[in-house]
Amino acid sequence: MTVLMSSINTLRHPMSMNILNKNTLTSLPSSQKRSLMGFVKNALGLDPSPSPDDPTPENRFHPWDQSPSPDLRERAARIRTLAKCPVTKKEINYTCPLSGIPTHHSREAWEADKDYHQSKRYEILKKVNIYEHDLRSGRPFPEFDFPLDQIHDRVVNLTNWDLFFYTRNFYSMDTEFQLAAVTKMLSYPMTIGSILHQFSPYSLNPKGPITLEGLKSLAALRYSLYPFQRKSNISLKLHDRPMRIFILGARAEAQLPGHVWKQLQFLFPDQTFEIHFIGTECLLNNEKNKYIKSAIPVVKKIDETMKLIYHSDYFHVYHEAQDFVPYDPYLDVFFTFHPGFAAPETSDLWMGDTMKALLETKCAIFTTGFNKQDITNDVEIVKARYGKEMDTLMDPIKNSYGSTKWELNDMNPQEIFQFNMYVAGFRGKRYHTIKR
Amino acid sequence: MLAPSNYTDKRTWKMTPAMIRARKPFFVRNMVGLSALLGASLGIYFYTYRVLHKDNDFADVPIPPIDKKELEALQKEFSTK
Repeated sequence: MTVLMSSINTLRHPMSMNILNKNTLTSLPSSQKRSLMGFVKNALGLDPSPSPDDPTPENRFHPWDQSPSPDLRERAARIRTLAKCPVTKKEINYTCPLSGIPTHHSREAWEADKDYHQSKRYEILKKVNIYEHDLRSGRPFPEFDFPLDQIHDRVVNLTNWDLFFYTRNFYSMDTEFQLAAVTKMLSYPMTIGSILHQFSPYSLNPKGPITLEGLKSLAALRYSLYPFQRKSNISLKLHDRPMRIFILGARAEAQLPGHVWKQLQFLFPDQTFEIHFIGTECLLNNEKNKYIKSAIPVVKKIDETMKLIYHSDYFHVYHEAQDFVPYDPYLDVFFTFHPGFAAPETSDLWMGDTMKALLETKCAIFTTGFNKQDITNDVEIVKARYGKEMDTLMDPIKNSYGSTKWELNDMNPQEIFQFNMYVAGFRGKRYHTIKR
Repeated sequence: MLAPSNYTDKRTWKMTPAMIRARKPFFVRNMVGLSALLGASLGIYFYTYRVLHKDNDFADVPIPPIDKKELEALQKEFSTK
């Protein structure tokens, strides 16, 4: 929980929010002087010399406690107050010179931490450092110009981020910095899209993580997503309503602007969507910087094909009030992004009424985790409590569309993770009719 | 028709690193396919060239026997120079 809070704060940082909201940023003309050398290089077809604005690991590296950005200095101070040195168990007073992150009590403790040096964790911590500085560097962000709808006869390849960006004709993201900034936002819609899409990178057991029950659920959803591929065209409008995607315990994903979610609809041009964000932390008042509650759902319409709907209470409340009935496994699907089913802070909230309600819907539920341990714990606790009432749809596997931006936990700076790193799926068991 | 793509450098027209990354999973198989196609066409070309260029001009034409006197006359005519 706390892990997420800190990272949501980074996502909600005023400057990074500015970046998120403006999708019309265009690249500034680089101040390259056309000198004689440049002319010769151009004639020979050599690469132009890099502009000093371009992010590199060297020019984005600053120790966090001497960072040019005030909120990273503040964050370093927060790590010092919250975290404990892993070696001496005392407060943190020493900034690792390799990563620029405060990690240990003193230089001696830092040198004594064999595990830290052997696992090369400082390399990943350095990435946390440089990515955060890059977001605050004020460079032009042309990669946030997202493409519009896909030309009809161009197929999207969903094998990995690079092929997705290339086939969708995104801005050419040449550095890890650009990838980190964009994949963190697109991870949420693309995790959904990559699972549901007909060219999903996840294949059937034993070659992939999808079980037979999972294929049944996905086949039902794809039946709705691709109305023009049905064998019988008797009724193209079999279900006369948009597809509903429920996102439970929504936090950072509920703050994403509409054009990011619209990227999901561009993958499925024949279907219309309603995205329902459910949870006490999905509605944020930007002026007060506080979560607010609303008795009626707040609707944000992006365009004719997509609506974002925010419900600011727990899912089981709406389930008991029958607000969402009837559920239809052909048109409804649930996602929970790092829910923490097994985390001590949130386990009670999830594993009681909410999980019962989720399994009662009989719709597919997909969940993600920060790391392998997190997703394994989540899946294990659901299996242990509700094993007889559920089917596994998808075994835990590394998410092809996880964020590539590394994050750290302020409570323990050596705990590093990526959003949506692993993904798994399950569903309430359905009992089929049997012929006697 | 030649609209500049996002994935080529605007000045040098080279592939960008992002495009090279995207092509990576296909690179080996593409190169195998390319060499197979090139090998087939070049093979056919050189085979044809070799078959058509067997240089045996009139080797199968029998030379008629020549008279000794005539031979000497001819040798005299051409070897004096």
